[in-house]
Amino acid sequence: MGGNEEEKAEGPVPKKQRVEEPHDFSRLPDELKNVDFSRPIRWGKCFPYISDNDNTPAPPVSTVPVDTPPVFDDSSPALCHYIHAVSGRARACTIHLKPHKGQTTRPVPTPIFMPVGTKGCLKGLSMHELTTDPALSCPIILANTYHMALQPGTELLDEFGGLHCFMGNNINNETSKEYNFNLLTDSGGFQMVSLAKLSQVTEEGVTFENPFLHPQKGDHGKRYYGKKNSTTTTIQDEAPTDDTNVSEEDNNNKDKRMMLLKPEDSIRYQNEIGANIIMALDDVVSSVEVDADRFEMATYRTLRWYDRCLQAHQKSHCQNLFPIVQGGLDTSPGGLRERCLAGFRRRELDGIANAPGYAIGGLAGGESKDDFWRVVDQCCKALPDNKPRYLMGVGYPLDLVVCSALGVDMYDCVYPTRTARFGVALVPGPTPGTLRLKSHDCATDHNVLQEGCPCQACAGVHKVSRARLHRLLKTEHPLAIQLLTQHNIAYMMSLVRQMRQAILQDKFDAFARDFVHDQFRGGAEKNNSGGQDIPVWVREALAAAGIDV
Amino acid sequence: MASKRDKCSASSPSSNDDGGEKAVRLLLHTVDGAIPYLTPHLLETCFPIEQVKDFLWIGIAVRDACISPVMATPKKDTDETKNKKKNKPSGYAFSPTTEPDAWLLPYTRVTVPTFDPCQDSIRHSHKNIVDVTASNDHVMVWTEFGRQTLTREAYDTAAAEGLQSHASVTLFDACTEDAKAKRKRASLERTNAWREETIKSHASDGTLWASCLVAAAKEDQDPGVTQQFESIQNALDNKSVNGVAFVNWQTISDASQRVSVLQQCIQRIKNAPTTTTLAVLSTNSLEQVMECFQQGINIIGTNLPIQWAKQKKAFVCDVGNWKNRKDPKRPKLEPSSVDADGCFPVDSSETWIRDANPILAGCSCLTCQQHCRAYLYHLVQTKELLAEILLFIHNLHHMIGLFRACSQSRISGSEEELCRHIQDQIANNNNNNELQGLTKH
Ligand SMILES: [Zn+2]
Ligand SMILES: [Zn+2]
Repeated sequence: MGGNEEEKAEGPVPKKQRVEEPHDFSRLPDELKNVDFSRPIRWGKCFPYISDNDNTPAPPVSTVPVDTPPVFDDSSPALCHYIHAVSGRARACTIHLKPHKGQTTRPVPTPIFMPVGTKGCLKGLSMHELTTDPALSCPIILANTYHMALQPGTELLDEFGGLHCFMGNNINNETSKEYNFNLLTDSGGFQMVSLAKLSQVTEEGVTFENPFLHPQKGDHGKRYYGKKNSTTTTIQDEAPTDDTNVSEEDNNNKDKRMMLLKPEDSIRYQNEIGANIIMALDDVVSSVEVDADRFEMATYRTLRWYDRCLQAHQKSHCQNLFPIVQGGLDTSPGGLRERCLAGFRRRELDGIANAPGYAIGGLAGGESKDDFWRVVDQCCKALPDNKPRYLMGVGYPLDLVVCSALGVDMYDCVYPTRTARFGVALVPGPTPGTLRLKSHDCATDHNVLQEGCPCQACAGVHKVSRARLHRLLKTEHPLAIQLLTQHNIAYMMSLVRQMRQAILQDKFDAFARDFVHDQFRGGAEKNNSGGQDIPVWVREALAAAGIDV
Repeated sequence: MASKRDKCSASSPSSNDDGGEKAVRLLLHTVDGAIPYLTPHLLETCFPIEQVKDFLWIGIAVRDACISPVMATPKKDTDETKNKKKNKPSGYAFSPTTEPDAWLLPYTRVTVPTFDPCQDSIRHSHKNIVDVTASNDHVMVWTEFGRQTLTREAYDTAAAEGLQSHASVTLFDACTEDAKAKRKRASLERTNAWREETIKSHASDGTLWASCLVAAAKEDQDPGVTQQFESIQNALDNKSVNGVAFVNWQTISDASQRVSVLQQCIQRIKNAPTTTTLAVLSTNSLEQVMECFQQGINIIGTNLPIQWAKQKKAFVCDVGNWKNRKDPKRPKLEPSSVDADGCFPVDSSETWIRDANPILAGCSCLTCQQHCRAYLYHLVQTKELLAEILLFIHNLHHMIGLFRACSQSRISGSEEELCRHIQDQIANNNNNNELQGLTKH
């Protein structure tokens, strides 16, 4: 995508600059120097947003019928985004992804929840069930690059024609057309920072302690077995050979205690994994970090790294690279989020980059809900309406409803599957909307998890009672975890389907109101509908979306 | 209750229209009354009833399936403690009204007190006690929830009414081989008495199997042993039972002894009608399964497909080409690649790392249809539960294939050949040097 033009902007950082003193990285990037921050950053907006250049309402959104066939063109060769309806700021879209080798395409209806299959599978759930059970019918799942690079190694996945094929998506495709799915991979950066020890971010990339030298319990030294002629090796097992570029970091690499993941590496891994949507490597800073300079540096670095990712991306004809909006919790005019957004806008308007979609990052890390929704609100107001918006690492059912109201299309979170493994089911009703099946209350409770739920545990003739699940959890019967995982994913899928339905009928405000009132029933004993205990952030966020609860 | 049973009348134990007494059936042990790894969706997709009903029956043990929490009876405590303990079960006990999981209803279900009484007691005892104690009106059963008392009445109610089983084995009190003579005698007497009582109170609908203590049967001089077989023979003559279930046979460690004991047992009821079901409730190895088959057993109980999945092993023994075993073109397994159970240990070999083939070429199970060896290897390496699920689906599917082959060979009179074919594959491995019993007749 316009490699020459990139040089005009910041472009890939010349090698000798990579070891500059930290303060240089906090300098406002050149391409942002002439940005007018007196007006909110936004581009490509449609009604009900404000138009890009003045305070008049933006033009109406152009919608297409739900079953419009996809068109992939040069400007977006691997993703086709259709908007079918808007209800307030909430939108019902379809994301068509370029079908993987030999597959029929499986469209992604939005809003969508993507279950997390960290290591190329969902815990206790076969892809057959996940894709063909109508209660689940997940069109897209997420896999983690960091984990896939460790086991089985991306080189092996590449040999298999990518993770789709490795997971069995190509076998028997004739007989089971519905058995196919899309994949999204993260950049790996977040895992490096959160899982690996002693991680440190430099301009070059993320440095972290070599996990092979410190095998965790039960690893048996078989990590990264997928690399030819080697059973244990490193992700980036050689130090840079460029003699002009000897630095302290490189010396660290030489003794193999530390490893380095550069933006180029992240993209190479993701190209080898072959997911339909891949993520630019961003400089992740914990959202509760207090050092403002660190955030500033990270924001600019995320822009620079995006350029390097674009440059390194070898498969833009079939894989969609999403940049990630960073900038901490600074939503102020001209603040870090705006600067990051302005950077992406600059690249798009200048034709340097044409991102097929945008991700909102740096959230779901322990920040306050008030900060959280304001960042989501600002990003949705800024990002172009003709592209999908993906909120990373979110979330809870309530978050999905609020953020969909603000205009988010895609979500991923380990919560529904992880909590299932602890014996917790997601259910409608008063917050927190969970049912702890290991509790004594469930021992003799003969109700199903949720009346009307279409999952295997609740629906049809099976009707597995809470008491039965309690009993199976007591003896750690695998079926308990399997059924709970299914229920929780079915709950999330049914939530996003209900939201989509409400948007298509232009009744999202009523849906959101009902949902919130179902979760917060405070005051209901006085014979009203309750809702006195609706948290302020929910009220404010929905009000920003034009919904009065 | 009766209507639920009727759903499956085509494969009920009293029916002969599905290959009749020649069929060899797998009695798959459930755990807590459920088949591990198989959600309703997977069970229906991978093992649809119409395809497996002749070969796959489901064994449900009252020991683990029918145990439920007992709620504390409200005491006149202070309000504070009352609220605190309101919902806490005071303990666990057998509940004869426990119903089977709805998705198992279409499958033929056989109720037993427990599959492996001695194993159960070893597993759950903190001391080195292996005996299951009993008195004349109950057996003490070791469960995940401590020792529990199971009376003959409660057991019979659970089998007939709660679990709505198609067949049930009369309550037994098994003891280990090394138990004292007095203990052995008592266990035989009780088992005999309970059998008679159950027969008396049981409607003669042909769904009762007489339990037969195998380990004790070795001492053929014992009057209790003689009485056991007389009583069973009587019940068979009266048609008050239509099957005999051999209990604790799997605990005999010596293969040749196992075979001869089984032969003796069958010999002692040789006057039974030819339609009599002969069941061995538990087998712990492929070798034992084949021994039972060779001795003419119809129902062979096991949890091997579950055990293998847990141990990350894939059952790959060739069961299909036994008729052409002399054909040089027949694909040959590396002798070293399978263990004594005809399994390939997925985690201890690196040969599957980049292998794009299914576990077993030509296998029609869901796992082999959709996934390759490299993916399974990856799932095993990353300790994913899905590895066990996918291995179990294959193992059970392939085990059913073995039972299908067994049934066919019994009809065509080529049991010897099939046994030798299986033996050839598993004989050369390091772990197993005791296969003599397999071909002894
Ligand atoms: Zn459910
Ligand atoms: Zn198979």
